[in-house]
Amino acid sequence: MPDERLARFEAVYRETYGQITAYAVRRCDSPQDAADVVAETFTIAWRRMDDLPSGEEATLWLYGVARNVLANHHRSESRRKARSAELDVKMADRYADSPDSGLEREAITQIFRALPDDDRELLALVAWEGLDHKDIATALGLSRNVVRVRLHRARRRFSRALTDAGIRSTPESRLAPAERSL
Amino acid sequence: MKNTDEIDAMTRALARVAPGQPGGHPSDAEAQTLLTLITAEDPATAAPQTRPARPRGVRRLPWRAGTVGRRSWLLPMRGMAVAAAVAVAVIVTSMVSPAAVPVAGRDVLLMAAASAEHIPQGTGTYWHITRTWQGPNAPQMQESWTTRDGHRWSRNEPYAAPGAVVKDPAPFRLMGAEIGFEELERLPADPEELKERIAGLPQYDSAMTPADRQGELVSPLITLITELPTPAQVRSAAFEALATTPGIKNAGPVEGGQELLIPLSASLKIRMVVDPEAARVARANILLTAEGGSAMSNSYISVNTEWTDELPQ
Repeated sequence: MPDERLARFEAVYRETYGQITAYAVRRCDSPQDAADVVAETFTIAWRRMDDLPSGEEATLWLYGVARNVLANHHRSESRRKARSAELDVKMADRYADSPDSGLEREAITQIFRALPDDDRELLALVAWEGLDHKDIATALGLSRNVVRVRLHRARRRFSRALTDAGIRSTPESRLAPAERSL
Repeated sequence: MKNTDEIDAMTRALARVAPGQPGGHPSDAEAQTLLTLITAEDPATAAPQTRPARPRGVRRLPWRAGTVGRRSWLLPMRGMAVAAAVAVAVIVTSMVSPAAVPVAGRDVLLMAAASAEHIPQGTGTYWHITRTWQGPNAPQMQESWTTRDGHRWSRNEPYAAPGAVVKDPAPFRLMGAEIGFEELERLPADPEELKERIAGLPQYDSAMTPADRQGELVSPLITLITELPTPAQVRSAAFEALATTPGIKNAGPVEGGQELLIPLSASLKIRMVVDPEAARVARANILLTAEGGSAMSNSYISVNTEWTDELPQ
């Protein structure tokens, strides 16, 4: 039985590690925070194997766990400015090759960050993790309808803030048209 | 309002890791280590709740929960490979005589055991532990000062203002259970008796590796020789007991000692530099700390311990 549990966890870990690390790196300002989130997310998964769904839903479930871990992390962030440098080499690389920030891009980043936390997360789950309404509903434990409405509002708020800042569109967005829309 | 596609495309352009790309690979060394550490914890004994209660200042749960419990964090990586390569290139030939003859890992520990007996611990009011490692941009240092009655100050621990020496109570721990100066001093100076005594001490499964739970006791023995104010005779016994661990390898002489590989579990090895003459663990890739935590590095965390009368303010 313990072996079975281990084998199953290892399979899920292997399957989802790339996605969960990407999720964390996209949302954390430092590689050490991202490493924290990944480590804690999988620890919780190991402890709660009985709750861990099988198949593709495992990833969505882990996104939900990571989201909570992240929220708790952010809450204590201000207290943790001064900690020892700790990071993961692969994650550090991700930060090293962060795209250089043009002024407009910087402005968009600022605006995005100023959005309410929930808005940002919904927009990111769509654009970064490529989730659809149904996936998001599963990951966050919401109804599909709620997701649809909130996502609509989030897009509207982001759009309005961008317009207020005089930003029309970025070269990146022109070069990278949406592959899927909701 | 911009259309949905446009908004999503703008959002997508902000992604630090491009959509569809993984943030890391499960075959990476650190991914493997994390997996080992997480699954070393017995889920039956682990706190079942989503947010396990953290003792003050604790972070990096898996590392805490995995190998050795309590206070832990993951240490630096970037830039360290270079530093390590440089260190390895500087071979100190006066190390073990004759330097050209390879020494078995076991013998390095036995030499350290012999030396330890003759090295007095020193005197002072505070047991001063210094850890240094290469951070992403600069060397990092963490220090603590502990009095015999358990008062403790630290510098540069997570959560504290950088550089400041702050009161930071955290007991010494062995196998997750608190251990005081006096208990350390009462430990037996005979290797076999020492192992027996350790096996009988209070312990927390979640702070031990599966191998330790089966009586190997590798991690508590390493903890005793690394950072704890263990008396000379007991240190000697711990080195000797550790030498009986199967599978110890000596990767050869490096700056400051001999580089040993000591199996911590089936899939996890500690890499540590032991100075057999000074009977000290000079540095390790997984540092088992006096507070019962573990700190990890892709390269090395150096450690120094001493008694001192000075407490910087």
